[in-house]
Amino acid sequence: MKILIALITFISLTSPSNAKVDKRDKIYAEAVELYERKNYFTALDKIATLYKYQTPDQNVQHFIEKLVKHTGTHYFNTYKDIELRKMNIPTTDLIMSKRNLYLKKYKYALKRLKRMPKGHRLFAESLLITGTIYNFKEEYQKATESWTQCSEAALKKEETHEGKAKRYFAVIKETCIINIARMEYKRQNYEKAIRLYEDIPKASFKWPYILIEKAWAYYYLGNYNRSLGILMTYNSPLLESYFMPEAEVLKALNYHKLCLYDDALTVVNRYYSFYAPQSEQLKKVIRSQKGSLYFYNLMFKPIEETEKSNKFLRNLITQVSKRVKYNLDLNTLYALNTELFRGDKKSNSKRVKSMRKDLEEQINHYVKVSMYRFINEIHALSAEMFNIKLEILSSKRTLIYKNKKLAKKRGSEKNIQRKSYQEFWTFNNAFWADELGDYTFGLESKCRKVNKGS
Amino acid sequence: MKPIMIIVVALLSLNVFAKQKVVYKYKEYEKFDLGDMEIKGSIVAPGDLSVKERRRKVFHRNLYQKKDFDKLIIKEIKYLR
Repeated sequence: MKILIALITFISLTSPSNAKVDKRDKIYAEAVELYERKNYFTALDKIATLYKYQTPDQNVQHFIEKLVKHTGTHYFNTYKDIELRKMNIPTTDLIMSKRNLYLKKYKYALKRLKRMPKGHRLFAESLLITGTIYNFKEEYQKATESWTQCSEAALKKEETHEGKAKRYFAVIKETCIINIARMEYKRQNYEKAIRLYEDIPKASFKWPYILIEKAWAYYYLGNYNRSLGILMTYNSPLLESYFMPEAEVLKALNYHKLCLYDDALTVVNRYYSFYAPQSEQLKKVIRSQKGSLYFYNLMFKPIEETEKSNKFLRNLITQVSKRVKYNLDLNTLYALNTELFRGDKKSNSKRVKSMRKDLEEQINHYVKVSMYRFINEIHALSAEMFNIKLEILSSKRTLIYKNKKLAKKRGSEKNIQRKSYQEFWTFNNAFWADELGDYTFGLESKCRKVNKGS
Repeated sequence: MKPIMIIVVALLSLNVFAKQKVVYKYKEYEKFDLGDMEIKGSIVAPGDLSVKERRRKVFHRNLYQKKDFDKLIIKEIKYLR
């Protein structure tokens, strides 16, 4: 009997499965050592490759999460769904849920999001996605709850962090508040949406972008003067970098609603004579570049240089450089360079260099897509402008046939609709920072028709 | 009786298939004397000059609208990481 037990023990000790466990433990120990020597990317690559097709135990999962704090989530971007599923950690759960959201597989996305631990640094972001899913499923109460929780969770994190991390949580918080406003807008509760938009401070990174949304809400409320006033904010020198083609369309629509056909035509013609050629020129500038990392390199060029080739180029670079994704990628790039330049003998420099190249290509692609999207937007909206022009010409023709003309009045303070908390000051050709976004026009609607003789 | 019937049918069928030569002739010239034509009726002049207004087609173009910001919500998530 004793001999039999000894034999079984010997076989079990020398079996291949045991050898595998030993190998895994060894690699884990090596990865921990790499982490301690601050070779975070080499450590992540070592341990993550090992668990591509097998779920790691809790210890390893915690260790990977610790590594991702230093490396960012970029490493997992190229992972397939099945590999991400095996990893089974909050970071990969978030990436998977995002992929499922884009594919409209809401059930699977929600399943992953529900597993996110409350204290996790990605918890607020996971709530942002949860709210988005409920919004698309038209479960508005649940969407509001998720986004409210998201803004609260992000606020807590914002208060305890500094620098770029603080800014990241501020962006998450504000995005969740703005999304509630957007949801109310979608449900045609425009007044409520406007009140929520006003919760975003003027110093916020998101603020210039929500001005146009607020202007749309006023447009649907029939307050065309306020809508035009808000859009005028984009003319201030402070917001020069935030040119939005859609704002021009909305301006023309507002003038059209006020029957100020000539003003609307001026906006339309300006769009064709100025913005369309500029965008064509931008397209030429972009297409003429043959370098493989042209867009990536563009982000590091001095503004004066980029401004020379095209006005919009500078604006686009400014906008992209303020986005969270770009900043997170930049952080990862610096971390990769730090590991490379430190030249630790244990670091796998060949692999780290390949990761850096991969990231540079991803940034290049991201900037390129942003620029082409902008050009496409200008072209798509020029068709909308043409439609407005036709409508205006048609309205003008009808007036002529009916032997009528529009009322002559141009503007007055009486036409300004304002709330009790909104003060009134006249505009004296100067944009004051505290006034930005609160402008209104006082144009009289010309839609009242009178007979030509009178 | 039968031979008579056969002869009658044969004669009839010959008659049907026989091609008749039809000659079409067109009028070569016709003269109308308009001065000689007489129209019965009375000449009436309009007392008031008026144009009946034509109903014009009213076009309603679908101008640009913004029903929601759903696409923007997704885009912003993509801009996060």
